[in-house]
Parts: sequence; structure tokens; C-alpha cells
Amino acid sequence: MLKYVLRRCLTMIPVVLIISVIVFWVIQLPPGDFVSHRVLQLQQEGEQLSAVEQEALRERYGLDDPWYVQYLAWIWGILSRGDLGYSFAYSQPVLAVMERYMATTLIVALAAMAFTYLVAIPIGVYSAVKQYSLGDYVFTTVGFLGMATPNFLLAIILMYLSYTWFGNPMLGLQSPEFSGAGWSAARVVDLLGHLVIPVVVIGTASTCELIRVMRGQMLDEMTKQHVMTARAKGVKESTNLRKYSMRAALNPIVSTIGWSLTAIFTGSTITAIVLNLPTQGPVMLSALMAQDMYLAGAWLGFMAILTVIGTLISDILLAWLDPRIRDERRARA
Amino acid sequence: MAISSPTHGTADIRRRTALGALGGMGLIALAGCADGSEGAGSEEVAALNEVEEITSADSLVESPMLAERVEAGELPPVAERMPALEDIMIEPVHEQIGTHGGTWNFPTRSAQEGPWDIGKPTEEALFRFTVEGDGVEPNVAKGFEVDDDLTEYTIHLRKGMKWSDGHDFTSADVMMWWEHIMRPEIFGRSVYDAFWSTDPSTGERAMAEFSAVDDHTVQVAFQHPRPMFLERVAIDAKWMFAPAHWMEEILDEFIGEEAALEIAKERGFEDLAGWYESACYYYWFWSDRPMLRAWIPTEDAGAEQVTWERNPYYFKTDPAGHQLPYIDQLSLETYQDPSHVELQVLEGHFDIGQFEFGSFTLLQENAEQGGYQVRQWEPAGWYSNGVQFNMEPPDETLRELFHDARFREALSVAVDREALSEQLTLGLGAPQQSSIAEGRPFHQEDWAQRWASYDVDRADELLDELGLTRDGDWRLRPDGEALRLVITQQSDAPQAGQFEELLKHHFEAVGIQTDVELVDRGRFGDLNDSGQLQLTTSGVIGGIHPIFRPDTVVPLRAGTPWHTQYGTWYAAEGAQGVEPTGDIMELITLYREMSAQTDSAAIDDYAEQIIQLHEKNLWALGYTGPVPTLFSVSNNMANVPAETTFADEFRDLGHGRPAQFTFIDPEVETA
Repeated sequence: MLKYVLRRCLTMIPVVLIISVIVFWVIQLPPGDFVSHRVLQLQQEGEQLSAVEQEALRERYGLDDPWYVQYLAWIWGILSRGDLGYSFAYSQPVLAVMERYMATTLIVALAAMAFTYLVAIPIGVYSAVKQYSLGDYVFTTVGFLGMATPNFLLAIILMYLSYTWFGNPMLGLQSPEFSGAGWSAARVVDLLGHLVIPVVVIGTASTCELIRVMRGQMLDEMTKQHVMTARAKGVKESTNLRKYSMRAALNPIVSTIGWSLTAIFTGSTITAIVLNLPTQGPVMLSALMAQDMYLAGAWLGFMAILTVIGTLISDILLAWLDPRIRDERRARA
Repeated sequence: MAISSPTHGTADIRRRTALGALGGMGLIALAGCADGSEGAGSEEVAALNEVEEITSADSLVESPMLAERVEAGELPPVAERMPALEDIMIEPVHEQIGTHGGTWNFPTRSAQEGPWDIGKPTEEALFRFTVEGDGVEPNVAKGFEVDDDLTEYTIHLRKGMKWSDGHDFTSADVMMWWEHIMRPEIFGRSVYDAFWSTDPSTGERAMAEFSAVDDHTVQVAFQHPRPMFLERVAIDAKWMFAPAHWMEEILDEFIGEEAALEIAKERGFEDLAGWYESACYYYWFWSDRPMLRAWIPTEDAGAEQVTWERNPYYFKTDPAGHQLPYIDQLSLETYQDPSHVELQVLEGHFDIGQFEFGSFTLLQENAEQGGYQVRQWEPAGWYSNGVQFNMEPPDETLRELFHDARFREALSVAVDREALSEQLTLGLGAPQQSSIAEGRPFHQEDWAQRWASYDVDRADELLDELGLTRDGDWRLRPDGEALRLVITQQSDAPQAGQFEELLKHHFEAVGIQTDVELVDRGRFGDLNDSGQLQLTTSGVIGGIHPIFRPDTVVPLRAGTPWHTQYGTWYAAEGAQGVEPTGDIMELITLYREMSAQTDSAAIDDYAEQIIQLHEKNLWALGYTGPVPTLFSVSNNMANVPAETTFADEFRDLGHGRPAQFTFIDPEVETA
């Protein structure tokens, strides 16, 4: 097993490197560069930069080199001293910018993920066990509605309801009066209140899909012969469900956990903008739009690594969860 | 207007520039100053403001918030914190004497995206534009003298004035800025135009020399006459000073490069250039950096919400001796999308919100429920919806067409302005040509009507005359190819696409096939820089006075679409770009001559000629007149001008003098 993990880790390295080259190349593809973008932005604010000043900026940022030179310098910085580069827009190291938004991003994402699994799995199981019951139909309908409604629209609807019922659209993650204050019970309650809309909105996106997957898998598993045998032998129905059907049905869900890792960090960008959430998504979007290359590059590269690691984690989890996979590998070895 | 600087005291120091000669600028006062419309009230306000000097330290009143700190021994008493009595600046109030206290909820973009959102309203310039906009007046400075040939400016500072950390503000701070910040160009800007004088005979430029006469006097000497020096300072070098005691601890010149770099790293910067731009230019985000502003940040930028607190050492009082600002705190809240500001203004959260015209209906409809009023400030642009022709498109045939006045006239009269005005501006932007409004300096009679009637027959006739024959629905170019125009706009412009589609509709009605292209900001910059644009609806030309901000009306540098190739040529001294001819060359000649004048009447003469060339040629066509920039102002807030000019030169909202904004009942105003 350890050998397997090691081998997988080694093959990850070239994959990530290739991805980083592609990412960097794509980012600088659009016309213009960060400086031309910045000059236009300054003009709108009433500031003018002369051609000489623009050239000085390009030189300072190293933008006059060809892209592969910039890439090599960047990747060397990462490999040799763990330096992810420099964000032009923030005038700060990329790492500092990422750190700033990390906590809020993790809070929102983990809460949304927990919401998804806690809601989807029980409902999926229920729908399967009580197939074609009233409850099943209700959940199916709601599920499809949720799947078909764009996230940001749901966000707007919930903000509207919150505004009409409570007089507060619940923008952001924190009421202004708590900012800068120390953590207190009132502040936590305030945070939880602000978390409801984002978590429901971001969570429902994948909830509906998961319910369908879970339901389908359960229906499959519940009629398998080993389950029938267990039932015939008088194993309690709840034990049967838990130990045999559900365990097997979780298989596809676990194998996609890895992918949700990336969603944690940059998913739901539009929702975050609509809700004014201080998370990574909007930062990433504006970095891409402004060609803030190292920030955007670091992000995309980071996501690529997460996807690769995520897949590995899924595989390991699967092996642990599903003896069939474990044994197959052992047999081959 | 009766509200003039109440500090008109000692006769030997000139309090204002003699720029009153700026043509009809005095008229702006009528159009722009809200007191004019408030009848009897304005006389009372004028009477209130007739205080020239605070005569006794006992009459100084501080905010209860600071009084508590004085009580606790954390701060010296107010009289010791403010400049010497005769040097305290008395800020006239706009409507009433205010009350100390309250928190102003202030929406802002993130510090990277919109540093000026808070920068402009809180700015304290050495010299600032007067309320009427007809010249500049001392602000941080106390006054100035200038010799007769305009080569030597003596600037007086205020005795006893202090930085926000209590250090004395002296001529050393001005010298610090000039010697160690501006002249070595450490913050990414070249030495400003303000500090150069031009030899009238050779055109060669010479840099100013600064010297400190004593602790409170600075002299700026030029080799050649430098008219408009103070106006240029008010525009370019708003803050011509930096806290010497603080700078000495961070600049590599004083502490060595290694130590300076270490500080830069500590502050999260990779190199000195980035750190210095932040510390010397966008400096107002550092809570430990001493400032002269009315409010100062209590923590560094970065959080979603940052509180700015009143500066205990602020140098102004109202006419009754209350130390300004009235408002104790600003709560800066970051938004990602302008709709968030709308939402929270309707809800009554933000005390002042600034909006593009597009939000007009929404704001008006909800004013009562949201507890605010909508204020309309007039912009300095010449139109709200219009097109600029890139006068040097790559295609030679198009270039000839664009240079032919008949073609521009055809595209002007082919459009139904009445309809556009209703469709795009609710009728507020008058159906007229790009022009200067009545009551503003350099207004030209009949300009607004030039080529402004909707006359499809006339357009057809002109286009036929130009040899653009019809082939079926569409016209052909003289060289036989199909005539196709491209209108380019930035995709993130407010309401991008609406106006452009309407233009397309009207152009195609006279047989000109038109494509609308909405492009990303970076792409737009690229197209513009390389001179690839044809027509663009992006940006507006105009301005208060060509001598203040010539960029959009005279080709001095790249950027403005209609003249960007010529601007490039001029800035590169002929090495790049395209040399202009005819009237466009004349613009440059006039501007250069204008800059060499020492007499303000002569300057206005030249400015008028520049404007008249624009009237004659209309390199940019306007289809609807200017529309106001909107502010929602809480009903609990007073002293915010109902209407005035909104211009960058005047620092946008800053022109309303935010230090004297006040809550009517501060008790209810919390974050």
C-alpha cells in the first residue's frame, strides 16, 4: 500500500509541472498585460501614467520578458525557496494574499460541504428505502428544482426574503459592528447567521445531485444477492442497510470527494460575489481578469495540485472502504 | 458668492490665486453653489461664516470623544493640539453649525481596486480649489506670495500645526517630500508638470528649486515664469509634504538599503518600489503613518471593514470654534459589486452612496423608505453618450473619411437624439451635441445645436456626396469594398451594449453597416494603444479648463481614443505615433503658447481658441448632454451640497468639504 502511495506521489510531479506550464501560458494569452489594465483603471480614477512611467512599471514587474522566461523564473522561485511570486494588484507576495482569505474560505466551504453530505446522504437513503412514496416524490421534485436553479439566483431570492423578513440582506460574513472586535458569543452568533445563506446556496448545488446518486446506488445495492441473503438470515433491516447496502452505495460519493477539494477553494465564485463574501473566488476572478499573473497562476496551480491529491485521497479512501478494490490490488501484486 | 475664504485677514498675504480671470468661471458659482437656490437661508449661512479668526483658546470646542481622552491624560488639551489661534483654518459651514459625533458608514471598493474612494474625500491638499471652482485657495498652507514675473513662490505654513501623531508640521516636511521623495522619483511617478518651467524661446524645461526660509516658510523658485503653479500643485501634487520624522525611519537614504528592504518585507512588500509607492503615494492605508487628514485609519487596509477615527490634531474649526471634523468615525465597508451599495442604501445603512446615473430611478423610488435624499452633482464632461473617432485608424480609406467633416456630420445627424435621450437618460441628458453647458466657462453659443438635428435626408445627402454609393441596403467605400464600421466599448462599462446597439440601428438606417464589439478591459487598452480602434463609445472628453486637465482635449499623451496616436507622437517627441496636421496640430501649438503665458486673461484667450477648434471639428460626437453623478445622502446628515461640480480636479466628493458634514442627531448613527 505504501509503495502504491509513493508511486502515485511520484507520478504527480510531472503532471503538476505540465499543468503549471499550460496554466501560465493560458493566463498570458489574452491581449494586454497587467500594466495596460492598470493604466486604464487609473485613467478612470483620473490619474494618467506617461509612457515612461508605464515602461518603468513593466520593467519592475518583469513583464517585458517573453512568457517562458517569466515562467521559468517563477517556477524556480517556487522550487528553490517556496516563493509563489508577487501579486501586482496587491503589491504583496502571493502567499500573503492567499493567507488573508484562507480562513473565511475554509469556514464557508467546509460548512457548505458538511451541509451537503448531512442533507444528501440521509435523504438519498430515505428516498431509496421508501421508493415511490410521497416523501420520495417531494424530495425528487425539490431536488430537480434545486439542480435547475442557478446558484446566484437562489442567493438573490434568499437575500430578498431575508431583507423583507428581517430587514437585512445579510451581505458578507460579519456585521460591521463586530469587525475588529474580539471573538465573543454575540460575534459567533452573528457569523452563524451570516453563514446560513451562503451555506444553503452553495450546499444545495451539489446536494441535489448527491441525493440522486445516493438513491440510485441504494436501489441497486438493496437488491443485490448478499443483501437478500443477509435479510433471509434474519439480519435486522437497519443493520443490513448500514453494513451492506450503504457501505457499497457510498462508493461513488467517496471517489468524488477528492474533486470537491478544489471546489472548497475556488468554487461558487459568482455566489460569493452576489453575497459579498470575502473568499478566494472573487480574488481569483479579478486576478484572472487583470492578468495578475503570479496570483492567478499560483491559484490555478494550487487547484491542479489539489485535484491530483484529491484523486489520490479518493483512491486511498476507496481502498479502505471497499474490500473488493483492496483485494483486487493485492491479488495483482 | 458670499462664502469665500473666511481667512481673508492680513492684507500682505495673497489668499487666493488671481485666476478669477478664468473667463466666465464666476458663473459656475451661480450654477454650482447650492446656497444660491436656498434663498433666505443662504444669508444666514453667510452671516454664520463671517468669522475671520478664533480669538480665544477658550472658544475652542472639541468632540466629547476627545475630551474623554484629554481627561484621561492620553491627549494634550485641544488648544495645544491645534495650530496657533491666528493660524487655525476656519472652514465655512454649508448649511449649519454641526454637532460632534456619530459614525459615517462609508462604502468602498477594496484598497487595491479603489484607493481613491476614501483617498479623495479625505484629502488635505496644500492648495485646493475654491467652492466656486474659480481658482485655488490655501488649505494646508496658510497663504502665499509670488513675485511679479511668476518665478518665485513663497508658501507660508501654519504655526503650531501638527501631524496626527502630535509631531510639528514644518517646512522640513515639505523639503523632505521634495528632496527625498519627488525628485528621486521613488514612488513611480515622474517629477510633476507643476515643478517645471519652460523657456519661452527654446521650449526647454527647467526644474524648480525648493528652499526652506524658516520653519514655516518654503520658497519655490523657477528659472522661467511658471504661471498656474499653484493650480498645477492642486491637481498634480496635492500633498507636497511628507512626515519627515517618519520618513527618516523608512527611506533607504537614511537607514541604508538593507534596513529599508527589511521594513518593506515586514510590510508585505517584495521590493522598495512597491513599498515606497504605498508609503509615499497611496499612503492613507497605513495606520501608523502620520497624516493631516480629518480622519485617520485605526488599522491597516486588508480587512473587510476598517474604522477611521477623527484626527485629534486636525487644523480646522467651524466658524463657532468647534474642532472639525464633526463626525467622529468612518466605518469603511468593502463591497464587491455596486449593487451591494444600492441594496444597503435602500436599507438605510450607508449614509452617503455615490452612483452612476443608471441608478437614478431606483434611488428616487426608494428615497422615502431608505431615509435619504438624492443629490445631483454636475460632471465636467461635455456629454454623457457619444462616440470618439480614432483619427488615425489603420485603414487609409477610413482615415480619410474620419478626417472629412461631412462624414462626422452625417453620423451626427443620422441619430435621433430625442429618442436616445429618453431611452438612455430618462430625458435628463438633453438631446444635444457634445458641448459646454451654459453658465460654464467657455460656453459657446449654438454649439449644442451644431449637427444636432435628426435629419436622415441630410445624412444620406452627405454620404452620397462623399462617394459612398449604395449597393442594395449597404453603402460601398470609394474603393468599392463594403463600408463597415466597428464601434468598440469595454464590456464592464455601465450598461455596455445598450447605447451601441441604438447607434448601430441609426447608422444602418443610412446604409452604414455597423458592428458592435464589447471587449475586455485589457483588450480595449491594447486596441487603443496600438491605434486599432475605429469608433468607441468609451470615455468622455471635456473638463473644467484645458489648462487644468488637457488630456482629453489636447493630444499631449496617449490614452484618449480620438487622439491617441497624436498624443503618443507628442509625448515621444516624434519618435513614435503619428504627427498631427491642420487643426489638431493647432491644438498643440495653442496649448504650448497658453502654457507660456503669464497673464491669466491671455491664458483664457488661448483656452477659448482650443475650445472653438473642438466646436468646429467635433472629433467626438455627443448625442446626449451630461447627466449628473448621484449621491444618496441620509436625511440625518447636513452640510452636504445639494448640487455642485463633480470633477476629479476638485476631488469628487471632497469638493463638498466632508470635514464639515454633520449628523443632525449623531446619537442614532452607529456602524
